[in-house]
Amino acid sequence: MTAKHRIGQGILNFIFVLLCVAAVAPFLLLLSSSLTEEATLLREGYNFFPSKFSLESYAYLMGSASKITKGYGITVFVTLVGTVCGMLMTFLFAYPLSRRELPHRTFFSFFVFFTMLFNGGLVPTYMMWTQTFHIRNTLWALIIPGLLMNGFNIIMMRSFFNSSIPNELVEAARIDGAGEYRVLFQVVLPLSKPMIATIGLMIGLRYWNDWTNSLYYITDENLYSIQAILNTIISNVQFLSSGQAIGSAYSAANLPSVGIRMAIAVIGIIPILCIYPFFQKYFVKGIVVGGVKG
Amino acid sequence: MAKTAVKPSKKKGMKGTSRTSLALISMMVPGIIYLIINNYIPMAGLVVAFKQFDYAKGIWGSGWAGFGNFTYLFKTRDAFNIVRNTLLYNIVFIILGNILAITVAIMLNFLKGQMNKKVYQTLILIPYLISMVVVSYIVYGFLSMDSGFVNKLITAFGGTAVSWYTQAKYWPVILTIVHLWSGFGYSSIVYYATVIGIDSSLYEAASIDGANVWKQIWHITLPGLRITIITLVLMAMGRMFYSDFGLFYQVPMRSGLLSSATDTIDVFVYKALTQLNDVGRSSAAGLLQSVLGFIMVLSANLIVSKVDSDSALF
Amino acid sequence: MKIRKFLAIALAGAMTLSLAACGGSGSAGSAGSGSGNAGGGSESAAGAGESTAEVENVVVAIPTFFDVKDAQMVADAINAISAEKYGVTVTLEFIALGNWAQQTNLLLTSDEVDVLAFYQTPLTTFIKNNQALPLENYVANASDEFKAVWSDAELQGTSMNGHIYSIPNLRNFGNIRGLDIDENIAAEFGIENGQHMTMDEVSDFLYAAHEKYPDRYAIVPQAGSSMVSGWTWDGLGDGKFIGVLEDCGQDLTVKNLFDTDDFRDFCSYTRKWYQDGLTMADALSNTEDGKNLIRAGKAVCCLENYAVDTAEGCIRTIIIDPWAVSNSYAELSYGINTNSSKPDAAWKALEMFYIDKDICELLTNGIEGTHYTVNEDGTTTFTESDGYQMAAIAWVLPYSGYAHPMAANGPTYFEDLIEFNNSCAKSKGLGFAFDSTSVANQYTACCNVMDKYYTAIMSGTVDLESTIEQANAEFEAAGLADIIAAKQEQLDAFLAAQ
Repeated sequence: MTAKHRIGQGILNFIFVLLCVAAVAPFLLLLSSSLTEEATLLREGYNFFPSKFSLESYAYLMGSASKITKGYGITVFVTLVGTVCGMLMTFLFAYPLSRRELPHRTFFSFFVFFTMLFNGGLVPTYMMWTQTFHIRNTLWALIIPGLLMNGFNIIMMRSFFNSSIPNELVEAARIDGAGEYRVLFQVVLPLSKPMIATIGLMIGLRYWNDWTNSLYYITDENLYSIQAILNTIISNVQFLSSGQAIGSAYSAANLPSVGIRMAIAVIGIIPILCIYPFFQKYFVKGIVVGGVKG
Repeated sequence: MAKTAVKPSKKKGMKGTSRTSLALISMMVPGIIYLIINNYIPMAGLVVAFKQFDYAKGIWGSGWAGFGNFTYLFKTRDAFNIVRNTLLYNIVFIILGNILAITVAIMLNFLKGQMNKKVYQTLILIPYLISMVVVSYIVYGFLSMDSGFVNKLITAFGGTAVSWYTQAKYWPVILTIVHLWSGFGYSSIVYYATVIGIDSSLYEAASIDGANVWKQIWHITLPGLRITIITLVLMAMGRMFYSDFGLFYQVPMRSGLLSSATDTIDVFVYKALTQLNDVGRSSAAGLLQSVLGFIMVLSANLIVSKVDSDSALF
Repeated sequence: MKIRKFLAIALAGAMTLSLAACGGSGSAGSAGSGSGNAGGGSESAAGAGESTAEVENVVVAIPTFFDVKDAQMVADAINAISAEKYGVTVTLEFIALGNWAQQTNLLLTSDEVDVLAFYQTPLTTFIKNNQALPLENYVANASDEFKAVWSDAELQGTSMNGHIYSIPNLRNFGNIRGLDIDENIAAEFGIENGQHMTMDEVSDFLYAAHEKYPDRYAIVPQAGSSMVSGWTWDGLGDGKFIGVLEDCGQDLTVKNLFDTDDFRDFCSYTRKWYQDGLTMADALSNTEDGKNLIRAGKAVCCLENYAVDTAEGCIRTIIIDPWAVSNSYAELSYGINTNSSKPDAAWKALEMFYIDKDICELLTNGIEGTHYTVNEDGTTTFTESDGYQMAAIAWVLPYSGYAHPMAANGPTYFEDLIEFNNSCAKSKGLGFAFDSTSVANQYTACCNVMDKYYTAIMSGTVDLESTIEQANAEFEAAGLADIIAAKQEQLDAFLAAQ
């Protein structure tokens, strides 16, 4: 029995090593190409081991350090503020949805679910945020539109409350005379750590990786996040290589090379890889998927 | 059914309840305001799908176009093609993606040891973090005609190099692999979260009864995952007419020859309208996608609720 | 039963909200149109505006490839002059070319930008969407210096139905098509800069170079997957080339590009090159610039369109003499947003970019001493600061003609450029731009077919005859004939009116 078990574990571990290799190998390719000398990269293509090692891509990024560091600063700030606000709003919205005392509970559930299926499209949303709220070229533009709250997170959090917060506990607290807000913050919140960590990570990831809000609302490059910088470089390259550029007077030599694009991609991913393991144990406990009406 | 049971107690504590509901609703106020501003008011802008959008006149001042903005979607020979592509890819992605994720989640559950579990969980999430544009470069690194790994491998075994970016027939497979690769880690962890929530005493009881691993999976794990699976699949069905733009537009490196296999509704609309800047037409496509997706969810949910009302989404 | 109730409530809720929104945004929308009308009607006030003391600020959007860190510094320097002299100040917004189409299109929904370049999307589209403010009244009342910059005939290039919608910027209006060759290899083969070559000579050279340098691609695309941008066909204001004039725009019959001799001739060469392994195998998925590949030692040469400028590390030869396509003037031009709340001030800003030498110098080169120094021969050299390098892509700016040229371009660069524009051959359809509104559905469908086949056939990656046959069948189904007919009709009407 134990021998059989051990073989089974061996096979499982082997499969997972394969899966991990499949998942990581392309990332290593990315890393290695960011460490390869430019001309070599153009001549030989991508290799898992740089045939001619060079730190020039990273040196270039250090050279435009103020831009990259500023981009990092923006990304970190926006991620932190956005995640905290988004968390709080999601938390405050999802909890009442999980309570039977909430009047028109079904209506509110659908109110959320509807937003997952329909959206007004880019232009109306853009007009809303820029003409009524004037958030263009402000940090708010990176935080507020689209990312703060989404239906999936609300429904997931609500399902967590339904399944993991014993109703008796809430009832007991209320009999002791605690108001709804006290119940929420003193009883429910401490029990919701896994949920908070999970939804927090999900919201945080979206903020960290977002470049669309920059594309729509930001033209001031002082407000570019890391992902926006990367995306702008890549879209410039794509525009040039589409052959649409008129005249010939552009100097493509000034555009960051493939190696640099890869290097920016790498430095955009590394922080997440460092943070994720700390969230992991909560992550798994926090994910609860359930229906809309709950 | 549950409602009737609750009702009497509700009436008894009417006073307390109204204060409670007020407090509860007050919590939701920020979220409600946000959803109204960010989602519902712009939804009114969908009316632009029926308008000949004039920038000087705005959404409301522009003249009506009736269904004129929709016709271009059906005028082409490609109309059938793009709808077929979108639906087929989504169906394949939903089926294979879920099978793969559930398999990985179950394997993860059977795995012993904390450290290796943690490492595996971290590593398989990496693809999820890489943006599609960067993925497209990586894919190119594998598939490029003369410096790509796949061709190096093929020629090393004596085959002839394949020109991947000019032959559409390979791309349904390539795109499926790329999609599964980039998403499997994340969805595995979502399923794994449910799997570990299943009461472990059920397994113990089963193994005492002599049920082998396969039987345990079949009779305990999969039923335990039922609601999660149905919920995720139903939600995915709402997005049935959408596609991951990055995957279908960037990863094929915009090679026109591949378009019969890689054009989905989103890509087609994007390509068709970059020259025309036509807000009305792109809204029309978006509206159609949403409405069709909505119908899909409703009907799928109806079927589910007929068969197994507990698992239905709503 | 339950579901129906939920849905009824949800839908009712959504409707109520939408209706509420109708009210709210509705008034915003009509306010927008009001300002648009005001813009059209207040043109007579243009002259009177100068006497009012109030200085208005105008937002100007300019495309760029670079980070323009010192945009504010340059704008301040411009404002120091313009506030007093023209009664306007400017805010310069530099927008990355890759984001340009998306961002300007959004900006044009409101009055957040006043003056901007119409670029990347055909000018006819901007006009059709009512995004560009008609300028003819402003032009009529403009200063003499302004009128001296562009002739009436040239302004025809940015006009439609009797309205002038934008002002062309200074760049090369025509292009030479030629071959950029690695300078060392060219020297070995005795090919000189500026030499004429026929396609047969190009072909012979490629085979010879391939033999001598088997490790290099003999030829690579000009950029990305595009073998060369344009050739001898004129899309009549349509960058997708759906219905073209052959022979550098000298033949006035609109034809299907794939049926023209010009196209088939060109592609018969590239097809042969590809089959014989001269062309980069990955031509269709390439993302590099051809000249980068030449400089990296991966390629020998690439086709190129150019005017009076040079390419580092390469010599340039001539295959097709310089000629200008129909919409040369409209490809990049500056105009005013219809939603601008201060069109008069916007016009003043626009006008000064074309007439004020100091402002042009600032906008092109930045601040002397900080961003550049002037050499003895009157050319400029960048300083260490990389805060403002727009001079390297002066072709996107409104008018750089008065500025000092960069050293790399030579002391007479702008004179040469203007001379080049005047002397190059012109398509007979010059000034004409096709309006696809009447055949929009067919046009959308044909664009899709063109995207599918154009770069592939041009690069020689696919078999010529069978692919063209396949493409033409798809074109026919997509309604190409309607587009060609509409194009011919519009072109004939345009020529008749000349």
